[in-house]
Amino acid sequence: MATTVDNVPKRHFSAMVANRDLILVTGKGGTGKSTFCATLAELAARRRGAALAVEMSVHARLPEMLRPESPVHAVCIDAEEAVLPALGRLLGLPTLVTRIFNNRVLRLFIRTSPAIREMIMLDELHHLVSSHAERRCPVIVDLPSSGHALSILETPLAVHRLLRVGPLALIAAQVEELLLDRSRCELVVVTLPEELPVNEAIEVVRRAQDIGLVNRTVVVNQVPHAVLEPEDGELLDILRSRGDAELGRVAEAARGEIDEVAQSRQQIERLRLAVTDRIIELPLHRDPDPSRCVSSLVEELA
Amino acid sequence: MKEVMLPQVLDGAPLVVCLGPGGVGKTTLSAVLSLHQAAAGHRSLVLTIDPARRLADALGVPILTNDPVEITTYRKMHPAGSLSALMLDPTATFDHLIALLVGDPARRQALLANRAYQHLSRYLAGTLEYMAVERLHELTRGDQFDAIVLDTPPTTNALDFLEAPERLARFFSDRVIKRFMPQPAAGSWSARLWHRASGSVLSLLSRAAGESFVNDAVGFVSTFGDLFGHFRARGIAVGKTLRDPRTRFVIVCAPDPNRLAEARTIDRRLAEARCRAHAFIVNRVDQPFLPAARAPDALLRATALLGGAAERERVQLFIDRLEAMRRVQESSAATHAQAVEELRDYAGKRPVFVAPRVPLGQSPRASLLALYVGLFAEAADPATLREPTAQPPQPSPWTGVGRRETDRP
Repeated sequence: MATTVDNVPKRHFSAMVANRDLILVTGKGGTGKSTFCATLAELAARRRGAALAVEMSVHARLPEMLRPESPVHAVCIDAEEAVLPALGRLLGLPTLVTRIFNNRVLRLFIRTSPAIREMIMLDELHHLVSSHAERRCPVIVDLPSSGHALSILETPLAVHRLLRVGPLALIAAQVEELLLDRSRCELVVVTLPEELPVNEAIEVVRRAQDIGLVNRTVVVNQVPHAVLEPEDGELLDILRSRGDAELGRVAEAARGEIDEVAQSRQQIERLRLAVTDRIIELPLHRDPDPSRCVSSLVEELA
Repeated sequence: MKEVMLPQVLDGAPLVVCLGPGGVGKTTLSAVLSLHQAAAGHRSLVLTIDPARRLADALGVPILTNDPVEITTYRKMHPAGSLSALMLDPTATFDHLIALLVGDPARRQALLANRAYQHLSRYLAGTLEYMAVERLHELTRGDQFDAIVLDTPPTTNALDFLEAPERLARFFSDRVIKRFMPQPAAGSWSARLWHRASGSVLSLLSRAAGESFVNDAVGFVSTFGDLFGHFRARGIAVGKTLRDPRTRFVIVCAPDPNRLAEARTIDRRLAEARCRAHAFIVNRVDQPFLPAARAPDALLRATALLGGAAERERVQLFIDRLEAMRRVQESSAATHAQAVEELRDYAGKRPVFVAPRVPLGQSPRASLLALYVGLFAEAADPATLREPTAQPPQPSPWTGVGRRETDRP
């Protein structure tokens, strides 16, 4: 039973965490992208001594996935929190910013103008990457699920077209430069061997290509391994046909497992045909505890 | 106290909102709830945002569009009611709205050519939620359907959708926006004061974003003037519909700790938004197919049965693999059962329903029916549940069901 990962993914991820300053992780909700993000951060910290794990969400989930003694530092970017420092940098006037931020109108403007919110988050990210790159500390980002992540990544481009001059245009240009720097940035798309997650992964890859993100890895998570062999189908048919209700149920369930494994293979093949990116499969983990799940993945990939 | 059943929760609800973390099968579940509403005799509609080939296949239609498509695949199950499905297309909805509201062709042209409009409608995050509100308003006001099931947009936070109506209403009623709209009596004392205040906000924005942005934005806002009242009214109306006591909120999740934690967060935020989750559905719950106590005896019988059919060694290896599979499933079923119990403790008096995991290998329609039977077993008439005649499988692997095709520049 091949439950362990062979050497190809090990080499791939160890080179990734050794060389990149910014690794962006996305995927459809529920594919295990946060778990994988925590795993990459732990691997990066092993390799480089430190790593920063960033999430852009209302409730932080990464800390509970990391070991208590982990050298990974986890932060959560909240657009409304980040707005003060970002605006201060933008205008070069930190004190004025505090006063205008108390302006209800401006706060509302930020909350309701999605592009501004995305730009503030990206600027904060850019700032974190620059300040950590000096210390050779990579930044691993748990982006929101694919649809939202793509609109965040497309924002600099949109802002660039919308604004030609001004500080916001400058920030857009800086962020774009970082995202498109093929030596520094990598996008990891996490998916499952199922129809919808694979569709989404294909779409993310296509749009990332349009944006110009060239370094991409697709991770197929939770790939089930076959307990039964395809030739067991014959024996299952016999069990099913002998009128023993209980054995009939067993055979039915076993048939379901065989079909599920076959279906997974089919989806992975479809993905391989649709994208040229590096595709890495990770085996199914049934451990429901997030931090144990991360630790075992780290051990397998280290 | 009598246990509440799922049909009772849905009974008489003109709108059922399905919320939940991503990847729990929310879209298919919404379709199943909608099928139930149709079976209960309603004119039912499932409003989704997921470009799922599999959902279209399960419903037996080639494609889902921005307009309701009637689904006849399961009509034997809902002789008195009807079932339709719609997939939200934000760009189409936005353009349709503009065509509807801006009568003057020259003004419409100016609006469509405005860069701010183009980016708002095509690129920027958040449009999906706003447009979902727009579409939902149209559909709840119309008399075409009396039972709508809404599959909420896949945002990081499902509740962005819920907050969108009020955000819209607040935004468009705000003073800074009003400043851009047709002027109040010029020269009045208050107008002068406001002019100064908005002037400073504008110059600040110009500094941050560049003058051309502000010019575009002001142009956009003034051309868009008429639409603000419209958006605001719709924001308020949809907010009211969501808070109508007949509206039902169902939180869908899966039996793992991360998803359960997200489900609880959604529930709390729902309460903060002055709404209430009426029920929880835990989807994809593993159920043991052979209890441990029965296993040795059953496997002995299987060995005996297969004795004549294959070599002893092959049979033994097969039986060992069956037992290995049974153990894996048993431990996963135990974990799931515990997760469901924890959710029941959290939910208090609110019901928690369990939908069994349907193996992925099944056809889309068989999976939808299996889910339906799993949730509404008692209400379902087995005679109508036979899988409808299968159509030849669609040859193309997913070619994009159209949601994003218009998005690209």
